[in-house]
This record gives sequence, structure tokens and C-alpha cells, in this order.
Amino acid sequence: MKQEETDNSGPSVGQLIPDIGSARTPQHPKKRRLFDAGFLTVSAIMFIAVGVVYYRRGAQHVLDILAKDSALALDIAPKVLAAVLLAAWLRRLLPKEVIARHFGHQSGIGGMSLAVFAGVILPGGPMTAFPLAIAFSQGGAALSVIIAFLTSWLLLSANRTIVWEMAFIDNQIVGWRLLLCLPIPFLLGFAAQYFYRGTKLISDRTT
Amino acid sequence: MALVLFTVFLWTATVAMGVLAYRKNDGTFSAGFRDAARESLHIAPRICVGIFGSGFIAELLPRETVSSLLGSGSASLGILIASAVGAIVPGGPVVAFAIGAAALKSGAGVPQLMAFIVSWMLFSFYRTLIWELPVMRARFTGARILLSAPVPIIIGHLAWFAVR
Repeated sequence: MKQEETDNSGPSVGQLIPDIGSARTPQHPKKRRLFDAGFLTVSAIMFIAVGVVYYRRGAQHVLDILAKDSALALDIAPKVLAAVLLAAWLRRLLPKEVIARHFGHQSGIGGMSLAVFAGVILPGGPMTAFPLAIAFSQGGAALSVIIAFLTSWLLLSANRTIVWEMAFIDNQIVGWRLLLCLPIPFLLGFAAQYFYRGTKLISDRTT
Repeated sequence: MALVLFTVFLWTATVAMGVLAYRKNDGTFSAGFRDAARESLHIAPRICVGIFGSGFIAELLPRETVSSLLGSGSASLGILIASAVGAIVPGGPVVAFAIGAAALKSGAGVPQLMAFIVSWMLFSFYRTLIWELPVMRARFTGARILLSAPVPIIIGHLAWFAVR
């Protein structure tokens, strides 16, 4: 049924998500600022740490760390740039509505595989992922599919891994982590199916 | 080698996406480009602060305490502690990964680090409270957290066997 509604011409196409978006967004959607409290806090901690290292070990040591970390920053910059560009174009080429339409009545391992893939490539943060999960649910996707999708987005998101994780953590460790985490979305999907069979975890109300 | 392949693959995908966007000829290309520029402006200072911050903080962390609590020798207890810390660490990816990197540099073990990261990814306090609860509601969020609860500990132990 939902499928047909989204296929209608006019404004109903793509209406699925925006409706949910407006009805089910946090009370205080945060406007992103270039310098927010979190950033200022981390900066302050960094400057204090620089001061303490200078006081304890001297200027040469500060310069050594700066040089080593600058090399690291330069090394990851092109990867981050590529990931950001990729995500920006992907977001415009593959709108949420298109993804949501492919999830009507998905279930089983096929549906979960699709969900895991969607979780990996989905560009954008929690403001995209959670409303999308609601849309899947309203499109008739099974609970296992929704759990697999969210778990995949949480653990395997390509964008988060490339932009953030690889910038900070040794890439071999990142590789191992991804490999070990790969089965988790499927396992949790099956577990959800087993433990919560017949339970309604996501209400249909959108208000 | 794997990293070179990965970088090549990443840029190939990016260029392919750019070509697709350009071919649409409706401003998708330049609009996406502007989005990316804005996003980069947001991300760049954060990555820098995170990288330099973790470098300097690692220098100051008490190496003996970190390695006895979270080092490879801390075994299951260390994995458990790391999982607990990951679930309650405040803030977004910069804070979490910077802490992880600093801990690793001052003697934390790889299995403990993985438990920490996976736990933060699955349970991030801030994200759950601000985003998941209002959208998914308590019943779903609770069920997901319950199902995911053993995961950081399992991944930590698997890493223990895998990465030696």
C-alpha cells in the first residue's frame, strides 16, 4: 500500500520521509555551528596538553610531536576529501526516498544483506539514519532488516570509518575491526527475529 | 599495498560519482561540490584538533596505569572496562577516536581499543539520547541496546585471538 502511495505523481513522491522527518525529529534539532561547545572544549584540552608537554619536556619535544602529527594529518587529508566529496554527491544522486522505496516488505537474509549494504554506503549522520529506519518499518520491512540496517550503519558506515576512524587509528586495526564486525548486523538481525517475534517495537504513530 | 588499493578505489568511486552528477546536468555536480566544501570546513579543524590533541594527551597519560588497566595483559577485565568507558564517553567521533588513539599510544591493547570503539559506536550516550530515543522510541532503543550489549565484549575477545 505504502508502495503505491510513493509511486503516485506529484508531491507524494518523496513525501514518505519528510513527513516522518518533521513528525519524529528531536525536540531541539541542533543547528551545526563551525565552533560549537564540543569543539571548543577539545581545543582547550589540546592547548592545555601542549602547555604541559612544553613545561615538562621542552620546546623540541612539542615540535617533534607537531611534526609527526602533521605528517599524519597530511597523509589522511586526500582520503577524507574523497570521502566527503563522495558522500556529498551520493546524497544528491541517491535521495533517501529512493532507498526507502527499495525496502518495502524486505525480510530474511536477502533483505538483511540489502540493509547492511545500505548502512555501509548511507551518507549522513543520525538525522538521516533513524528517520530512514522508521520509513523502512512503515514500508513493511521486517524487524531483523531494520536492526541489521541500523547496526550496519553504526558499525560499518564507510563515511564515518574513512573520515574519522582511519584518521586516528592505525589502518590495520581498522581493517581487523571491520572484518570482525561484518557478521554482527546479520547476527543481531537474526537475534531480533528470534527474541522479538510478534512484538511490535516500532509504533505506527508518527506523532 | 592494501591501503594504496583502498585509496585508488575510493578516488575511483568519488570520480565516478562526480561524473554521474555532472552528466545529470542539473546543478547536482556543483551543489554537491558546495556541500562538500562546507562539510570539509566543518571537519578539517576537528580532525586537526583531534589528531594533535591525542598526540599531546598520549604524552601526558600515565603509561603504567593505562597499560595495567587497558594493556594487552589486562585481558578480559580490560576489555570489560574499555566497553564500559566506550558506552559513557561523551561527544562525537572526534572525542571518541582521539581518546582511543591516545590510549593506544600510551599502552592500551588492541583488543581493549576495539572493545572501546565498538561500544562507543553501538551505545554512544549522546547520539542515543538526542537522536535515537526521540525517533525510534524507548521500546525499540531498549531492545537494540539489549541485543547489542554483548557485542563489544565479543569483538574484544575475538580481536584478542586475531590480532597478536
